[in-house]
Amino acid sequence: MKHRATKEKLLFFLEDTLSAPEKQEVAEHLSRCTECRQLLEELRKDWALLKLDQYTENDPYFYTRLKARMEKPVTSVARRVWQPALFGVLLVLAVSLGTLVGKQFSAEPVADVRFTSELVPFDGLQEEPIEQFLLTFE
Amino acid sequence: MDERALIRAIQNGEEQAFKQLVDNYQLLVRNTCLSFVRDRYDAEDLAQEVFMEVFRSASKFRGESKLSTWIYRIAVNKSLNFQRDHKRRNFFQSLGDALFGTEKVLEGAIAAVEEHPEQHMVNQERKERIYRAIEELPERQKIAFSLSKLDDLSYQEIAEIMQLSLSSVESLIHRAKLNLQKKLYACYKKGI
Ligand SMILES: [Zn+2]
Repeated sequence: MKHRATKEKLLFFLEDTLSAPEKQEVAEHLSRCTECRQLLEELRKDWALLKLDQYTENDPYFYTRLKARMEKPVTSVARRVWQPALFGVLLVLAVSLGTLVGKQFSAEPVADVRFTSELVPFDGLQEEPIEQFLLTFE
Repeated sequence: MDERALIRAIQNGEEQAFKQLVDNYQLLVRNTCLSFVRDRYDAEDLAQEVFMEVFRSASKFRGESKLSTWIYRIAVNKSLNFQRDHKRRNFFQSLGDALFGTEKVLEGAIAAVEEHPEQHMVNQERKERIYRAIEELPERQKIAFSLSKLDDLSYQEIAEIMQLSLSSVESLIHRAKLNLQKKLYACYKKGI
């Protein structure tokens, strides 16, 4: 049997599901082909690992855990939708509040300037320099 | 209690009957979930969900198929849904890794290579590789193959669960094996 045709049958050879003549042909090819022997060996190692993790007996606490979970109040779909939505709304509120407060603070110096500049006209010292004041006093 | 009486008792809300059903089928369900979902904690969670679904839809069970066939169907459906969600989660995670955590991923890969420098493939890696190959099979091939090879079901039972003819199941499993063989050869060639 040719190399390529054998390669396609190795897994079935491993599982022993080939017809007797096919099995014979594969065996013959294997005796002459190192690569096919290596592939078969790899497949054998991999195939042996299947099913190794499967459980073989009942877990005595399985029902207890299942029962506990079934009795837990259900997180309804509505709640699962509402929670992120509520969170989103709160986030937006927090951000706008932050922006507002931020604006308040950044606005204050501007207000200060206007406040002082409005006050200046009433500053007698600037309206009436000290020399003039002294002069008028005299 | 036979199957019909058991399901009737569950429909009537008898807790003892439900416990009986869980005891009878927990091994089957836990193993089926584990065949599709490799993580034990996820598989356990999923097995619980299967029984919750069995409990919820007990009234829909008409006894047209065997009870085990019906339970297998629920377990397979839940497992496939889990795989789909998981794949989606993994996609976003790897997207995140690609955007933010590439170095970490690379470091991990380098460490893995350094730990096993030659073809000394540890069993865990072999296992991951073969289960990944199974997971990548077309869905119906994957179901038929897993139920046959991992859960030891007969082709007849698989045909009933999947609602297919016997010859379709045979063909699915044959193609699954050819595909797996091909995928594994490709891995051996790359030395992964
Ligand atoms: Zn060869």
